[in-house]
Amino acid sequence: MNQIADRSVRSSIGRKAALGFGFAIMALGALILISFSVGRYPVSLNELWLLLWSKISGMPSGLPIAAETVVLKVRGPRLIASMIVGGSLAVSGGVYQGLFRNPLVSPDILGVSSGAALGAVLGIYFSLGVVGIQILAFAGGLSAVAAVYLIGVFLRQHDPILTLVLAGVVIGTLLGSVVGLIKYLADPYNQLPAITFWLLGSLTGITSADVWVILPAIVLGLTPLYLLRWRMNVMTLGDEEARALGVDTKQIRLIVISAATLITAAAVSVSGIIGWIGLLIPHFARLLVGPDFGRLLPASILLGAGYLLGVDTLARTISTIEVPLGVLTAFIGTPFFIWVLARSQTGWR
Amino acid sequence: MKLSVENLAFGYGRKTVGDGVSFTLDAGEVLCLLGPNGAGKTTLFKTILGLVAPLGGSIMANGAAIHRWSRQKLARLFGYVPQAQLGFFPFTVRQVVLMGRTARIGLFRIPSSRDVEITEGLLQLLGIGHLADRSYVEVSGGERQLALVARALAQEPEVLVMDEPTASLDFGNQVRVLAEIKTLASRGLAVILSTHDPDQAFLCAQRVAILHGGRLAHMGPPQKVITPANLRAVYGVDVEIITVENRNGEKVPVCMPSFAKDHVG
Repeated sequence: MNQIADRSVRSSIGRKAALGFGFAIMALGALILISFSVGRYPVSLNELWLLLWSKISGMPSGLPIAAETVVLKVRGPRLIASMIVGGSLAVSGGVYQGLFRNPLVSPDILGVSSGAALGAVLGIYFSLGVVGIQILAFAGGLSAVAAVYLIGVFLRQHDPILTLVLAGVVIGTLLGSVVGLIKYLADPYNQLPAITFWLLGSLTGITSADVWVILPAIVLGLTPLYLLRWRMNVMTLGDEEARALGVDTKQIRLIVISAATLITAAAVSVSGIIGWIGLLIPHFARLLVGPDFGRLLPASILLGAGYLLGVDTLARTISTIEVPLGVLTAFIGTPFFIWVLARSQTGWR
Repeated sequence: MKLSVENLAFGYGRKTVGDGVSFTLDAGEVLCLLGPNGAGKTTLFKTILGLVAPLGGSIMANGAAIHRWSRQKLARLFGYVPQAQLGFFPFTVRQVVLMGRTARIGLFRIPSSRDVEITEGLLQLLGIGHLADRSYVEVSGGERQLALVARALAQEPEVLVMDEPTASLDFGNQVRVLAEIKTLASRGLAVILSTHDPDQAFLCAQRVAILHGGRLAHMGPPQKVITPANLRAVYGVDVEIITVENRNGEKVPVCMPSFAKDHVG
């Protein structure tokens, strides 16, 4: 009797998670369809179907060549990029929140965004091409986090988590002021608008080549995170308890920070700075599927992908000029975050 | 299983909390550590567990020094019941207990069905099976404490280190945990626990040690160590020790404090 009751309770938890995944997948699917069809050149669902079918079957679709270009060359890469960037930022946010046991943590806690920003801004200042800017942004993000991590290693007599967060804040501020200096020195007609644009985040003009460049780095980062999903659960107990339970926290922390940094740096290098996703989406994922990383990681990816896809679709459709993504995510994120704050009673549930 | 601690000095960085601590602990034995607030009981435990680096001395398990052991190997030797703290994320009680299996789960693996089975058994053993799917942050402090005991047992350790395991428990659960400690010891587990209640030492421990002024001031069988004179010296209060017979016909000593005269009238 008791056992039967037990099993039904357990399956009800599984059912809740299954419902959560169902919701996330359906929302993402609907957003993909909407995002393909809306825009300055509207494409009906029927035309979209014909285009995809012609791509699969090799038969001519009978649609104007412009429709094909819009869907396959312009919107396609941009949709995919927005989903990859959104999913990446959400997943590393969720991982950092667990590692640092703090729900206010976002992927830039260790300075990856400010490092990437400095790299990109330098690239623009020295008039490098798009690829050069992306490489510098990527390298800047990785070096900033490496610097923060080394500071943490040198100050080892303190609490490791607190040291990392404080070092991240300090390095982030320092890099931010260097970015400010370069903006001050930059040519106000050519370079400054480009810098501002990058710092506010945008997926305009993204190509499928960009997608192929960042995808390996992101998969490389996601793999260890998913493999270490049980150890990550234990890490949320805090350094001491995790060690008492047999986790080599130093090793796990190094792997997880490297992996999450790789993912974030790759995403930010093509999108520019987009805040709020990594802070907010993991909360929703946790609400839907619970805190177990085995479920939290895929749920964060799905929700983050859907969220940035939706926001990017808004960004290119609500006005004749593109609205910067960072601005939109902040406008949507702030009220949602206050809602999350209001519904949590004591602590973070 | 024989744990021996020799001339251990412990503390944080340059601040020594205690030194010259030596004792041994055998399989099946319960050692109860008493000491006033701030005596360093928790720090001593964390040092034995290797969570805080020792400032001197040595800790041996079956004659082998353990200070270079991996975390995984240590977690299979020591089960640890820390003082209960609130979790940050709403893991269920079952998931928290399951985390005790971590040292026996491969780095890239998740708990097996055998791990889940062991967890279920422990949840039942400690009477918290009905809480298994409740969130760990929502259950009461006492229930959390029981979950932590279950988690430590899930480690399948040889030595159980319990830091005030009865601190936040109601009277019934205190008695249940003490009885469980006795049962576990009779099955061959070595147990070291700290408590603020000397009566508990009479109930479940073969030996008592008092940590006072950074040293193990007294150590020996409960009747020899828990005396009015020693309690007076350590806690600064007057206590009578009386012996009562319980329902099983066992004679058990009990501490009975007397208030200073001017506090009564």
